[in-house]
Amino acid sequence: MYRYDEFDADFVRQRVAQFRNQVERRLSGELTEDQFKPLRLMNGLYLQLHAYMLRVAIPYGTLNSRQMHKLADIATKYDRGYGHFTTRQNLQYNWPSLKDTPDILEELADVEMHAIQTSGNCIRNVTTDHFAGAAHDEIADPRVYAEIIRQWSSLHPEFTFLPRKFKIAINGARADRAAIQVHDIGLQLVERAAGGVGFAVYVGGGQGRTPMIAKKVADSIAEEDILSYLEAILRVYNRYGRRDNKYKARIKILVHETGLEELKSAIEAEWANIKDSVLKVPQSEIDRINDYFAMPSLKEDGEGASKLALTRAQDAGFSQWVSQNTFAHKVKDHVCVTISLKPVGGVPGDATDKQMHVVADLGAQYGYDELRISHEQNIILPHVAKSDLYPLYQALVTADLAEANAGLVTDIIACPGLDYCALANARSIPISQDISNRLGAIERQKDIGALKIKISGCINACGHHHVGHIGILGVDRKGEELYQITLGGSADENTSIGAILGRGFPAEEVTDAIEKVIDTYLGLRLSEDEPFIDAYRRVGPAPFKEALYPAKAA
Amino acid sequence: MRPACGQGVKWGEMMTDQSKQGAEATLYRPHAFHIDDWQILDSEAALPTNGSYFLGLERALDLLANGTLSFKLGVIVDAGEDVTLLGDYLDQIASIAVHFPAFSDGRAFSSARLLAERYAYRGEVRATGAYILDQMPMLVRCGVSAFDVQDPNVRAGLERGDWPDVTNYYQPTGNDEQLVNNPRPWLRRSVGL
Ligand code: HEM
Ligand code: SF4
Repeated sequence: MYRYDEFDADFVRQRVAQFRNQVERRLSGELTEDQFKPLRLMNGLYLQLHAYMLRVAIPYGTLNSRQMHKLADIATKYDRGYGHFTTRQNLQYNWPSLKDTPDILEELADVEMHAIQTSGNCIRNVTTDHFAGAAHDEIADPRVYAEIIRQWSSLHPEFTFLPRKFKIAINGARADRAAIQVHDIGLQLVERAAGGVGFAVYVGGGQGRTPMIAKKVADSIAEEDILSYLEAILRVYNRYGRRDNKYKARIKILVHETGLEELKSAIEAEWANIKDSVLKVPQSEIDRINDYFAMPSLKEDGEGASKLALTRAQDAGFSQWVSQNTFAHKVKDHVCVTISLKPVGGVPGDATDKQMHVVADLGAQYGYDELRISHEQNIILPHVAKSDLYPLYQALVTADLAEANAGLVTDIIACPGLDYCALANARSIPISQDISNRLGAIERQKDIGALKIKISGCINACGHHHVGHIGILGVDRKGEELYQITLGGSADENTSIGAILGRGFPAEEVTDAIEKVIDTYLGLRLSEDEPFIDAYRRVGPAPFKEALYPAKAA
Repeated sequence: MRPACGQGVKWGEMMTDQSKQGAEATLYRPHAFHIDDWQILDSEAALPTNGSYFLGLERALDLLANGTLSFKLGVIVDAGEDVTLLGDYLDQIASIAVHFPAFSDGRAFSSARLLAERYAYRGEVRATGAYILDQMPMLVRCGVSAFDVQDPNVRAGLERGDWPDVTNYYQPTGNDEQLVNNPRPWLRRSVGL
């Protein structure tokens, strides 16, 4: 993985010192909360319902065991013993005190981490496929470009006061596991006709109150041109994006209101001016960064596959876990492992300090010291030899981390909601827990198959409900918490926005309603091989509406 | 004169004697406040025959296209206005004010950079309006060379010598050739202070 050199280390240290000075000015009363706000937001510090919340960047979701141990230590020392992994491949601490935050940042800097650009109207932490560098279906490793983009966007002097936040996602595999079409910019690595790799560029996707799927603005931008092309988009956005209404300030609105063709020509015109500038990325630099992301030297595991088959035959729980929580690796005798942070009935994405230590140790022992955070709020060990799967599994069982539900109905994404978030209309976590408890029996989950439920506590859509196969949105109707159900969303290479099924349900009826939706699906699917989303696309919303609102259908 | 941005000059380091300049010195350039000898021409007022005056963009463009200049011309470019309209006339413009209606409105950053980089403009670029202290180092990197300081917080910070810069840069900006020639690591540069 990428390692800081002196320059990077010094950059982050300076940033911490700068922030320490700002916090001191706030604590002494020299800065009012209003004046402090833009400054703390530049360092990932939010003021929430009960306390400050600190969001730590995990660039493109990649970290090593030393960093994971540090995240755990910070949770112990400055928080209440846990942290929350988010859909943006970040970690949030919910209970730090303001005076401690510079020290937390200092400790993060010790392990090459920071909170820069995890909030504010700037280019945020670049996210990518959690199996990057390991997945069997990869065209090129997206982390290399994510790192190049991270550096270019770090405290970019021109683009730190954009109309609104700006999120870039990049995917290097054939399957889209980075949800690139619901980001401000989505980059898909492609093989170029002329040889080498380049990027298909999508602009203007997003969720929030106006969900939109990004539009393609370029088919194949060369590697060396990626920064100048991004800079051109950002400059057009900075100059012309709306600033009169924060709900219309994302680039998706600019795309929508300006029209794709006109915007494309504005980008092209801007690009023509800067294409041959210093922003051209030299091959030597791409190679230099590439070296950091080299595949670890994997051990030979010729016997692994047959050993694995044997153990699976003897341990059904293990076998279920292997079929659900592993993913095909580039190298045949290895796999990628998903460690679920979705215990049945638990809080999606939360991890205790103890669990983080355990996972860090397991990553060091079995995973070549590499760990990832997925946007589905799970932890990934991207490289595990097949013969190490069983001891790994047993250790996970002991730590209560062996839930075999990756991609299944209890692998729910949920935002913090009213339990923590100042903007929330409704709770998300208890709804998620309730659904998970109801549907958690493993036989039932297996029967239901691949199904993504995503829950947001308000229209900001942090829980991605628009792109859930089943989405649940908390709304406030005259003081009552209600939940709207949407169906048919998806965030992969066939991205779609879910459609609202009908009026919302009070909290105590949501789980029943979800169960009805699922039973309806089970009743109409063509076979066990037709997953929920395919069935929904085939039959449309009508049968589900009838199930949920029978009076109306009559 | 446009200071070479960041080249060993720490903008916020005040020469103490000058920091004691009275409150009427509102124009900040590296190290010191200066008396601002520019005025803003009232939109209704007749064109002056000498002196240094800022005009709004529209009136300035009209004058540049159709008239002759009898005074030192400055142009105020508001956040929503297109600075590139001045492209053909830059040699006749002594100062361009890029305006912040609110600190969160970052369009002036792009305006300044376009002037510095696309047009290699060497006149004064001054920031006016609601910018905050913490934006000043970045504005300088984008090509701003002077600041109209009205906000007491900005003033207090500068008088104290605050210049909240992170001096390791990952992007080349402004028209500093050194950035362009910087060999390795690619693009980065720290300002040796
Ligand atoms: C608890 C504090 C949080 C606050 C105050 C907050 C606030 C917001 C707001 C205001 C938006 C809408 C922005 C817009 O559409 O322009 C948003 C979007 C978003 N947030 Fe959060 N959020 C919080 C937590 C989280 C968490 C925990 C996650 C990850 C699980 C997250 C991930 C996202 C994502 C992915 C979006 C997506 C939609 C988009 O940008 O298009 N946020 N957030
Ligand atoms: S979706 Fe709404 S409630 Fe949930 S975290 Fe985002 S802002 Fe808060």
